[in-house]
Amino acid sequence: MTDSASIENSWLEQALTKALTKPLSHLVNLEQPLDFNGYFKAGGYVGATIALKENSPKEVLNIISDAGLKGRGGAGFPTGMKWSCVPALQDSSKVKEHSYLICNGDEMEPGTFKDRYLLEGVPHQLIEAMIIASYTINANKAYIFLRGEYYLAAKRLQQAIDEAYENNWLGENIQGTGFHLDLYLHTSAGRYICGEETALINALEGKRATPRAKPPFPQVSGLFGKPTVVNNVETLCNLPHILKHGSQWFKDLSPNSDPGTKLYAACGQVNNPGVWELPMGVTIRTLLYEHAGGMKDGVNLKGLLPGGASTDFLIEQHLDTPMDFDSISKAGSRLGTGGLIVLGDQHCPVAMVLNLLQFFAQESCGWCTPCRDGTPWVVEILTRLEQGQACSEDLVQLDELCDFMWLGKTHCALAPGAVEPLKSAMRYFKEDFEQHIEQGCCPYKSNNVQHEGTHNGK
Amino acid sequence: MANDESNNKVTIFIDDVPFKVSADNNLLAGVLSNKLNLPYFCWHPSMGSVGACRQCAVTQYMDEHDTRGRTVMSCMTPVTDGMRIGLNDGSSTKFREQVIAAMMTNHPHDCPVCAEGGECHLQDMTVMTGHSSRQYRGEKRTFTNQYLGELVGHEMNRCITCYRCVRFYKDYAGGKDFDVFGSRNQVYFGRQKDGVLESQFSGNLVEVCPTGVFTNKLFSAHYSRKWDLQSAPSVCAHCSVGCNTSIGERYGSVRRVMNRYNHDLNGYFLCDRGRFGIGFVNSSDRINTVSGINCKAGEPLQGTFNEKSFAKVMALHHSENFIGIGSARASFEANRLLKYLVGKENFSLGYTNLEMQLSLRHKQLLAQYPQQSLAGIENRVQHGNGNKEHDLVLIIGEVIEQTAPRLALTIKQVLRNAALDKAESIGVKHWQDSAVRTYAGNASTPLFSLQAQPSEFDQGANGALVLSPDKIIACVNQLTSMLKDDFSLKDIVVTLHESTASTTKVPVEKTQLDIDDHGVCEKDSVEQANTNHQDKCLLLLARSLSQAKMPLIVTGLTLKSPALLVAIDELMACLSQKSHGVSPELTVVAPECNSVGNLHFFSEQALSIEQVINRCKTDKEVPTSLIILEQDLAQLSKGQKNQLRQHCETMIVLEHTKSELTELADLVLPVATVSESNGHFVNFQGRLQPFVSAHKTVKPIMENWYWLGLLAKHLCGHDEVSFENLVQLQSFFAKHGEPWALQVLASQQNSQKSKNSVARQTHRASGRTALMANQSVHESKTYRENYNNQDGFNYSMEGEEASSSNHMPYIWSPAWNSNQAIFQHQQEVGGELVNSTRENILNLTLSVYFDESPQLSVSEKLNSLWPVIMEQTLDSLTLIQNIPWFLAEQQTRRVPEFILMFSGNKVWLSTAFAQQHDIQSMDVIKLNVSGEEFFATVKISEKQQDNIVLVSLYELPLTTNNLTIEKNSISKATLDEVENFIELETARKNAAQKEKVSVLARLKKQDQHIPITFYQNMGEHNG
Repeated sequence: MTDSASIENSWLEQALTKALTKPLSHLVNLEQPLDFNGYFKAGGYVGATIALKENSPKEVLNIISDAGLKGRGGAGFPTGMKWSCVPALQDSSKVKEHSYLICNGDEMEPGTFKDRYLLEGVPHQLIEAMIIASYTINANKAYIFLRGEYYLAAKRLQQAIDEAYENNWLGENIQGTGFHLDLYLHTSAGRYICGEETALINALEGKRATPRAKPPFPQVSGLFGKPTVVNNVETLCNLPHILKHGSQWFKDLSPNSDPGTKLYAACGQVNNPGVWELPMGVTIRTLLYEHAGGMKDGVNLKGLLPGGASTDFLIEQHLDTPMDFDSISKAGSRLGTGGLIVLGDQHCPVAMVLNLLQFFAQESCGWCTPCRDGTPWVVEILTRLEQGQACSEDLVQLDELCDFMWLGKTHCALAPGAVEPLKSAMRYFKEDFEQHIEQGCCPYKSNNVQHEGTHNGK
Repeated sequence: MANDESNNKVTIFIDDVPFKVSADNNLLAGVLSNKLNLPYFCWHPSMGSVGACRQCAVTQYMDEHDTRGRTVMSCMTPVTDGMRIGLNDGSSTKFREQVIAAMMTNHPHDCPVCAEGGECHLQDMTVMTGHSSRQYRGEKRTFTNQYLGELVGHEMNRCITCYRCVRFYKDYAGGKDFDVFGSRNQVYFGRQKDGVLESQFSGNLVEVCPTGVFTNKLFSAHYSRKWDLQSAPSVCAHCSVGCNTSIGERYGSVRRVMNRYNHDLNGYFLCDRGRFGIGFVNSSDRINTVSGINCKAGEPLQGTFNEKSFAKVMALHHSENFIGIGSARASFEANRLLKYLVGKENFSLGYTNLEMQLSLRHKQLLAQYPQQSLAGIENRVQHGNGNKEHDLVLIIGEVIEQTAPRLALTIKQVLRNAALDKAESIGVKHWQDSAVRTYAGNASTPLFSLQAQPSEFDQGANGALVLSPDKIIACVNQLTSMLKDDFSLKDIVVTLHESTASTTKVPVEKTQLDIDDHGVCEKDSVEQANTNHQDKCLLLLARSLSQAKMPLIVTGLTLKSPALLVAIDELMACLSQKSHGVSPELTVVAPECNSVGNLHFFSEQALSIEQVINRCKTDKEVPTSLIILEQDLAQLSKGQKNQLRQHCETMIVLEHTKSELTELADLVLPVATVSESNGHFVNFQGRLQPFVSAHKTVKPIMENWYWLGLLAKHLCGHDEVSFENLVQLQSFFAKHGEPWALQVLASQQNSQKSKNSVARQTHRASGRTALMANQSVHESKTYRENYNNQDGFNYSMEGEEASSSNHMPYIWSPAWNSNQAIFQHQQEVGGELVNSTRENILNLTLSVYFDESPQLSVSEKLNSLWPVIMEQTLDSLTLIQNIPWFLAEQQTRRVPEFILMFSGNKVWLSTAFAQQHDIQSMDVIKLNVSGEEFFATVKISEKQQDNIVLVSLYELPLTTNNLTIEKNSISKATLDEVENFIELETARKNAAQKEKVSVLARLKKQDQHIPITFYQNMGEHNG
């Protein structure tokens, strides 16, 4: 036995001890992910075997519904409920109607890198998951829509797909079950809006990445007009484990009403940025101070976005809020992707919001007016504000624009998502906004804090 | 009120007030149908809803206790019984204002120089939402504009990104060279690069665009605000569909043509030939003097017209026997009057023997198969009620996108029936445009075509054959006999997959139609494979026809083949047999705007051109003379025209523009064009439609019926004929009991709600009359303002408002200055106009003479009356015209912009023919057609049948088609000839360019010299 093999074995032994507590990430190896054999030996494809050989699609659906798995892409929609809208599962006469499965791997939410962790670290887990999901919703063709910049993930996924074909886990008559699945990897040309499931479908069809009008929902009329389910990477990766260990185990993973584990992450002014798989519902404080190592030296917490750029700021008083869908929502924000973006008290919140809004204005698809013309308008005001050239009427205008771009008034959730950090920043950091006007400059700049403007919107 | 009861109406509460709205349409349509003001941009009744602009937001409440409600887009919201919405509530009005404010962040404030100003939907909506002060302080984004051709201007900075243009051009009209590019607030609508828009519907962008991004270039060049235009309800004279138009005039020149909503025909859209073809009325070749004969010795009858001297001259010709040659582009009334004054035995339709036979067959078809309106073909009213929709389209021998473009647009909508039905099956309504397209994708109603030349519709057809005209007839006959033999065609098996050795036959499932891999049956080099493929296409077509419930067959007269019409008649008869449960419908495209009107005068006594020539030649006792009414006699070569001139005693030509005949004529009487005269055209259905003059001409240009009246009186001794206006003419024939006249008079009475006439001009809305207000508040005119030709319209801003007429001269409504005001005048959005009368359909029964009698068949009768000798040589070619749509009508060939669009004379030859004759692509060849030489550049087409020559020659009259020519009539041009050809092509373009510039200069100069005529007769506005 060579040295490297022994290291590998000891790593695997170590990893397998966490199989029941950190199901999603216990096999993650960012250096060199497990190949088919490795993954198989580590207990991979057991979940898929159970699904395909021991359960009917309807039964798989019931297991997943029973487990209470909620979508990890940001909205937290129950996965079982999403699947059950597919005609094949709704109406037994339509059993023969094929659907499409799409894995949404277009992880472009600023401050979010959890899916990348799974994609690069254990690609076979996603493939196994997609076999289970496809089987359930009667899909013979499945797509992974991957963020274009995830080059390494693309390479590793494609290799895993090839191995899965070689080992008869993809293609015709999978493992003698008669189930047939082709899996395609599509790398995005790169627009944030492609993360919106219907825009993603349009992009996959080769059309402009503009969100579609709903209804009809993709489960009824999706890719090429056929029933389609779009699931997030992390959501899907839960499936093999639920099949393997049962829904009760899944529910028991979390002390909270939202079952399972969740990949949480943190970035910004923290000592130890990173991503961790923790039981659903860990408090922000635990995440921030135990896992992310607390605030950097000399920096105090100003506020944080709990789940990516398009969630509302939370502040010190919310630190004991559990990071689950309901609790975060009650605190006035959204769990989103579970990736904290932490703002310290030496950085300008206006500049941060401006940076985010520049991103959203840049990434607007240009379909509906509030988003297309509203977000650049906000950028224009915030730019002046940050430069100390705004007046108090501008704050009123910002308030109105928040209202203008809010839910129900736009075609999709991009603009409301952009409003969330803005609106909450204006609430929690009102003084900062006003100081910019009163002092005629950015108060943080006089403290000699360097700002890093990334996007310039042009 | 049509459909009020039958429609699925429910009650909804708008700001707590109950309203009846249709549950089949969206909430926005319901609100607008109730004539309430709700701003919108991206929604269009013909294109449906996509929810892009967010302008039509309203607040929807759960119930009467809900005070907050939620914002919804009314265009995306289905109507449910009892639903409660807020239209004027605080939150939705505020949001709608914000939407405009957001759009205005980038919209330039260039309204003073914008051609849309004063009729801009964006202006109207801005005012309607109350947005009046600008908060945005940033810079505006700018774009580079594109050159889109001679017709449509582009000013992208004005764009508010409503997506209407691309949805019309690409989705609705099937255009391929226009799209949307970019994203965020840099969305760009245009072509991939500068270039002429290919679609024949590009002009609709001008009307579809809610602001001034797309403008009518011809109108912009010689511009006038809408409120300064004088407009009249007219009918397009450039094909047989008879789209309703509104012609706008100022200072004696026509400025533009706009769509005039007609629910049954054009709806909201025109083709570009109709919109831009009007240019011919401003041509430098217009005839504006009486010329050709001497009044007194040496003194020409010119300039001002003097009836006395005219009578004196006419008296010299009393002894002659006059033959009248009518025309399919002159009004129905003018033709009727001409026939009256020369007598029925001296009347010709200006058709050759072959065309007479064709007309008889045409009339037969029209008498048997009622022609649906475009709305009927599209099933516009009942969308979604699948049982009344066409489920198959078969186009035979008529390239409708050239001959009747607006019909082609309708057929494109028929092809969407399958998609709409499919969407309906999951509860997606027809108006949910994006959802329909998402779910049904490219689902298309089965389409087949049998053509003598390639057509736009070949792509996407389930079967498309390009054959020689003879073979098309053979195919139709074969189809009929297949259906006759076994209508159910149970045993027929079809496969169009070109598997060479395979003999296995795959039975076709009932639903399986798209068998052909590529849609178009491509021509194979091997003749056998070709024939096989043709047979398979026919089998598939036969089977599809037998399964269709309501197939639509479209054909026309372009191929000039009576036999084809007979074959189609038989096919229709076979399909119509009751036992089959099929209700087929037929649409026959007529050649010109009043061709069907001419059929009314078709009888066994009508003279063909050959008979006219013969009469001139042989009747030597009484000299035979001709009165030629707006007729080119294009079927005759120049030599033949000269001969005709020599044989007839006197040739009187009534014409508006110089032609070969006006050069030959003894007397040329200048007549008014469609924009300057009144009358009726009869469209392809037989629908009598009135057109009204937009302005008056300066004498001696007079309306054709007026000249004819003078001729009747002074030349033919009909003293009883003395008409001051058209109503008197109609009354005259009504007294004679002619049904058409009674119909026309009755509907004229109906169309006016008040005794007073309707103003052709808008209410005074600018300072247009202020400059000279101390002298007169009347507009400068080229004629006396109180001129009244009893047509119900005043040449003035004074009179009843436009909407009080059944034929609105222009569209306007308080708060709605743009063409979107139309919704305020419809009974229901997308429905009939509030003021609309039943259209008059001309009775087209055949005379008893043509009944089938045991002694003589119709064919024998035809051949004895108007014999046609079929030249049939084995080694000959068939010439087929393949002229672009903008030159496919004689009058529009004079429009300089169209000539500039023409890429030059071309001939398409088959590969085999080209090889045999050593002709390469891009060679220049000489083509001899009926003794005249034409030159053209060669294109070689692989798919073309060997014995077909497709030609696109500017000089070749449209009447020449499906002509047999000898193979040796095509030869390579000599070097000198090539040089000449290139020179001629360049000269044509240069002349057009020059004409374009000089017409504009002339008209602009004329604008500066209009005298103010003081208007004496109206007491309260005395000058």
